[in-house]
Amino acid sequence: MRVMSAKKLNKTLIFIVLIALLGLAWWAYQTLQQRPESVDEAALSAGEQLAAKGREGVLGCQTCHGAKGEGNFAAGFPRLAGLNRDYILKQLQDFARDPLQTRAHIEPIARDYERTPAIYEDLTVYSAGTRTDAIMNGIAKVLTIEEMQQLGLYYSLLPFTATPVAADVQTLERGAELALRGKPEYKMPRCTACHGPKGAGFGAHFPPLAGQPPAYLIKQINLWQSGARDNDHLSLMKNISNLLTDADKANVAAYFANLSYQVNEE
Amino acid sequence: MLKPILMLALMWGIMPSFAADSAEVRPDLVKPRASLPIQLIKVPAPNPGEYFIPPYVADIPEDKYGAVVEWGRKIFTDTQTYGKRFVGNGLNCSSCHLSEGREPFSGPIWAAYPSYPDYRTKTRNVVTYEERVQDCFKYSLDGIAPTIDAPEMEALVAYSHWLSTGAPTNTHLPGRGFGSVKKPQEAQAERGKDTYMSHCSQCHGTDGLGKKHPDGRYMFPPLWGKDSFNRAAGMTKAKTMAQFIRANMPLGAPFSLSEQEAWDIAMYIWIQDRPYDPRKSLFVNMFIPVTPGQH
Amino acid sequence: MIKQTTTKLAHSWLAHWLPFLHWLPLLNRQSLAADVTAGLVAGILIIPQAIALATLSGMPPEYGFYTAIFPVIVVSLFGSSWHVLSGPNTAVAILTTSILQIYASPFTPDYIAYVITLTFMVGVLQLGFGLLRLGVVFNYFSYTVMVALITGVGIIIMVQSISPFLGLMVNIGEPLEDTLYQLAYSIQLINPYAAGIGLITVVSGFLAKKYTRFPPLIAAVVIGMLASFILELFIGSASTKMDKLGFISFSALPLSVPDFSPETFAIAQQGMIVGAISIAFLALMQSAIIARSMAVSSGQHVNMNQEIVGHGLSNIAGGFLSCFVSCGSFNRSAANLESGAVTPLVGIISAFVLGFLVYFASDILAFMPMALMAGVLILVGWGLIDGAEVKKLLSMKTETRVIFLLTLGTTLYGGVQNGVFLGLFLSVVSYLRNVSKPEIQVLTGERAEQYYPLDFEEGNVLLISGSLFFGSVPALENALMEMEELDEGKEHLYLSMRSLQNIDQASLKVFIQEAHKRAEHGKRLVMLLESDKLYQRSLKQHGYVLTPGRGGVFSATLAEENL
Repeated sequence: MRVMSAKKLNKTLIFIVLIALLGLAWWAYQTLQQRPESVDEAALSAGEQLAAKGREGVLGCQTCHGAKGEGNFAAGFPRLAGLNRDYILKQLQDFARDPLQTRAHIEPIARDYERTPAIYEDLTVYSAGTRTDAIMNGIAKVLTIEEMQQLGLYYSLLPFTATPVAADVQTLERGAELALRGKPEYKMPRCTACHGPKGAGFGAHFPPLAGQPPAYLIKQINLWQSGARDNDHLSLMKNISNLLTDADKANVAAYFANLSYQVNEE
Repeated sequence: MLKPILMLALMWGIMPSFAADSAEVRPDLVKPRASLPIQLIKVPAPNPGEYFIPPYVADIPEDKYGAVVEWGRKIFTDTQTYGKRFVGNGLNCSSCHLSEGREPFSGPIWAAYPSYPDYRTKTRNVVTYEERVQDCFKYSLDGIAPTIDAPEMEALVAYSHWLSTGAPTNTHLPGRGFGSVKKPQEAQAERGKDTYMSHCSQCHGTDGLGKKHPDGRYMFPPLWGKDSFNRAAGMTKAKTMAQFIRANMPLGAPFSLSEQEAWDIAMYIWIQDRPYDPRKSLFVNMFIPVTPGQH
Repeated sequence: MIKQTTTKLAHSWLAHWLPFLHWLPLLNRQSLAADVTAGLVAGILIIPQAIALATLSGMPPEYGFYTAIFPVIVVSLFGSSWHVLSGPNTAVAILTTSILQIYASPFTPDYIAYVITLTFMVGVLQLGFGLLRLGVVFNYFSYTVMVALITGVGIIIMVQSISPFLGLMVNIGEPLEDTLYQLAYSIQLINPYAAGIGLITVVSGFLAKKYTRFPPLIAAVVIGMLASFILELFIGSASTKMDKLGFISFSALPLSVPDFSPETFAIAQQGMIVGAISIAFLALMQSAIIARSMAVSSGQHVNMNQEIVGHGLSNIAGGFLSCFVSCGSFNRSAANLESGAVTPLVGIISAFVLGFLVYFASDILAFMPMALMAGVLILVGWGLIDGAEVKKLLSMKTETRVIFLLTLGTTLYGGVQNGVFLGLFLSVVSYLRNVSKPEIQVLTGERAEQYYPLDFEEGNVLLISGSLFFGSVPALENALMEMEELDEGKEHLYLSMRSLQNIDQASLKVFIQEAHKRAEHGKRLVMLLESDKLYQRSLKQHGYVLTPGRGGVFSATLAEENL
């Protein structure tokens, strides 16, 4: 057995210490990168205030959307908890925008697939879009931009855990087909292509579908189809809604209601 | 006659709201269309009755064959996880072969598998399906090709085989490939950039590098850059890209772009930087230019 | 530096169950430094072998790393030898593939599940062996058999590696000569780039071994990777069409569970149990030999049973950590000793070094050509064949030559498993044969005189040494017949059995018969012994009487009434 000289011994130990320090530095860098960004406390509390109590002229959001933003499944009011804050902002703005006075009621495309359908070039592609809702239009018109931002911030940070709704196997299978594979023969893409792998949404432009009341989802698809809601970019949702039958809508909504979903863990 | 009037009125009504708040909400909106959309367009697709319908995933058999098919399907849809050994960029097979390889005019697998072995102009020889899939890994996924006897390859072939259940072999099936697009007079990348920014950037990013999930996976695939397909991929050819764009994009509105627009975007994408062609040496890649139509 | 003084702690019952307490309290700064250096070297050295042996076992490359990381930690903590490093082993890898490829295709998830289950089974068998103190059995295995097995494995590896070396694809699992036929017929399909890189790898490995002190496998891998990188700068990677290793998905804690569920296990049950036994034996044989040779070089006393328990535990742990069967590795342990390792801490350090390296180097390793790996395997296989040793064994005129050729032939044509079992059988048979041939010398007249005391009457002497048991009866009877021819049974017969250990029923019967024969002529049959042990043990019950004589010699003879 060889004996190590003192010089070599010191060099080895220094080398080991250096490697350990490098490793520590790298680990620290990784951890710091994932630190969540700081939150504007004032805006958050203002948003919370607004959501809970409203102000004069504005009903508190939680009367319909639930005390913790979880929505009202029976009535079909959507959950707001965990939605992207820029998405909430945009939707409120779209609610506030005046529906066009001379807006033509656009017929849904005839679902006659016996013959090759003719598709018109996009009619409303460059509109920022409007969203028609009896209750929300009035509320949104009264809100200021700052208030909308505060509400967006508040609701985006709320935690939410979905209660999966049971459904029978065939419904779920059909819903899964649509959500995960779309309708290829109609060139309808899968929902998860934009709305996230588990319907959890993506970014500011694609809201989550999981944890939303089925009645809400179906209603929105119908609104896309009729044109009462046209605030999607490039009419993507409109085209997709045109390809869904009523049964499809029910199946896919049941599928998403059946998913377990959690956001902003407490 | 009524329609143009209606549309004019529509535009009149839209204008104020367009001016007011679009910049804040729609930063990627660049230039409005110059002319009114007044022409009817007849599109060849989708014509749902015409296309082969592959079996449903729920009907994958419960035996050993079904297990391999399911594994192949996982590799196809989540190549980042199940094909991690071979994939070299951020894409999955289903990034371009939409709807798990079922969608017509999106490179459907049920049309590809039964037509191999076939002559391939790219390599100027007859290739088997396995060799074709190897090329997909080497070029479109910018990675390492699995060996022909690798179990992942077998799984992918099993999935393709199952997906093509009932499809006739060696027959041109409608919906195969990406459809056809006539090349217009001149395709401009400059115009393509504008069209890209207004139509594509919301999903694929203004920098074209796609959008990622927090865990690093891509939600919307990158169209160029180091995580995208390399210069030897079929999608690099402007024509193939134009065909793909016209038939599938924006996702949810296929055939909504005109042929001119599709070519413009394809040219804009073609001029971007992407990983080197693995068939050529480093010197050639760095200094010798490639034409948009080159294999 | 560290003397093997046993501390008070080492004596305690705790140290018996936790063997690392023998060396842990003895660590000091100097030993730590030596161990760290040796651990670094060991960790780096194992990389090419781990990948190559994983592929040889039919497992994806990351499993080779798991096998090089986790079992060695367990063996370092619970084994006895201070210098043996455990890890993937060539012969075991080949044996694993040959056992399991009937039940699942290599590299598939089913196959991986079978391998992990097999590892667990082997671990249990080995642990049982160790706990039952059967370690002594491994001292009896014929060295010839071991060399023959290893030579056979080396040849198999080299032949199997020729096809990826040339960039060809041939059917694996075929008999050796069929593989060579297939290669001959596929000459025109050779991938010249792959063959070139493989050749560069092998040549640089040989040159490094011959002319430098640099570890040859590392040199081969580094030069091969550089060569392939430069080649692909000039000719694109898709044009060379070389198969590459691929990105290794390496997880820090790869938990797994051995699968004994009826659906998967029942089909393979038979083969796997037999296979587990053969692998357990092969692994322990190799580990025993390595441990013993390390012990000779380092002067450490190795407790074989403890070592076996350590290996058994490591394989059981391996079953839960996605490893395939590991055992002591020849070149790893030798290199370890060479690089100045002091304690088993080296194993633990090498495991961490390897994990660290692989995590960061996996993107570079992804582009390792399979031809390079085949070259590494050819170097490994070549290293297994010890030409000098084989020549020596073949030149020995005893049954050694036969045993060697038989075992080698069976390994090459019947598979390693059959080779192992035949080898075991031949070991046992040869042992019995050697043991059963007692040395018997027939001495008469003057030459006989020095072997019996002076005050005894004249007679002839049979000089017997060794053991006498049922197997030696024929030899005994031959000797007695020879004596008969010389003296016609008319002389006293003295049996000089000074160094005899044992005499059993069958041999005694022969003696009693002879005693009766001599008694007819009025002559005696007397046994001359050195102590009364043998008498007390076996002769007393058969009616012998013991008479102590001069010079410490006892004589035993049948009592008068029994004649």
